[in-house]
Amino acid sequence: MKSKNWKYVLGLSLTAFVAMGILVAKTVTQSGSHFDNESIIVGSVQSSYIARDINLYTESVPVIVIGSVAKVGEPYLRDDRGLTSQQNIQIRVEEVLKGDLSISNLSILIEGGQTVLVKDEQKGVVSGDDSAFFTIGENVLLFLGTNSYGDYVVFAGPNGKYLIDEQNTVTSIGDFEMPLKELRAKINAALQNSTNS
Amino acid sequence: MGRRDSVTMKVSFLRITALVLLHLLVFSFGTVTTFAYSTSGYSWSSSPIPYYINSAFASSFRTAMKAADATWDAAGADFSFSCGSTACTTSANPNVWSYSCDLEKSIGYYNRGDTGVLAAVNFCAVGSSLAEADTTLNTYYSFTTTGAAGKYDVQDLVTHEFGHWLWLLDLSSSGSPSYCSSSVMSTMCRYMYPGQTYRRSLRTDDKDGIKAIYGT
Repeated sequence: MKSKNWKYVLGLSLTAFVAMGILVAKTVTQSGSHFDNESIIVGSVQSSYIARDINLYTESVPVIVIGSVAKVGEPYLRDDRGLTSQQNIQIRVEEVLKGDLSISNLSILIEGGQTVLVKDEQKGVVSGDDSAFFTIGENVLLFLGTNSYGDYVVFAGPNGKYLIDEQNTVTSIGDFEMPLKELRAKINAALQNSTNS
Repeated sequence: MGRRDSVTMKVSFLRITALVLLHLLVFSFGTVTTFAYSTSGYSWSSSPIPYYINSAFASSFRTAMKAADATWDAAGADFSFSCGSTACTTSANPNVWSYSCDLEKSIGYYNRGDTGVLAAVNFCAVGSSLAEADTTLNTYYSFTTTGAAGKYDVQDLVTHEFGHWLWLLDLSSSGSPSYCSSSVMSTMCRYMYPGQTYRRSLRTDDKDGIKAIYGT
């Protein structure tokens, strides 16, 4: 009898654990909607970015800076830029790793944020949610490219933005984490290589 | 303590140990088969969804794009894409730049400059129902259909972009095991290396994603 009970306990316990295992294993990320469902038209952007490669990024971009976020503008639409929400970001530059060494302030553009669009009596929300987003006061290292209008943009969206914490550790999207000193060394090595080649 | 008690204790200890080991085995199996996808509640209300490809693309590019469509069609979900015409082509670029939704779903091109953005998808939706999706490849960069080194593979890229049309979102975490590394990638990983072709094929998590949205 005791043996039977033990089997029941074992069976139930295993079943419960299998269920728990499956629940934990299925890490399904159901992100919340970024849109107002009452709106009639919704526009959004999802982009494919060049994968993070510090050598490639360093060689590709015209500007790499370390600085802090001084201002984050409100999202807006421009008639000549299509259905894309944009934000202007002001960076107070503390150090230029690549580019014009005299730069002290930079204005960069990101495609992101939400903007209300009213057209033909229809209301909509234009939203971009996969850009590099900024908060005032953040300390950052940025790889900056230029778009076809000549604006500075964060190269490869969130892949080109590196947040620097008080311990001088750098983090970025995709579980990237590295001491600032090491990232600087990689950038310097890439700069050296591109100068030599 | 008698000999009988001692034996009973040993047997109990062995049983408990076996139970713990079994649980660890089940748990580790579960974590090894971790899958991930990301959605946000929008979907097409009908199927198949007709689409067009800008006729300015080379024939080999258009073939690669249709192969990307076929990959999702074969994912086992109750959803498919279809060519909007026999040739599958249109002379127009996506209209997302003119503030209107014409309901035509198309793949076109646009020079976004040296932004690190290889392609982008724009949407129009009414409520939670998608009405239009367009993809634009950034012509600033060089593309290939052969996975050639230094260029970006069209089929890999467009398979990913079609995933966005289904409203599967980008994955960026390395996870455990990694599903967004330089050697293993889910199709919905947002990163792309020159010469990369991994995302031409769907992984189980990509298929789980489309099945979760559209059923089987």
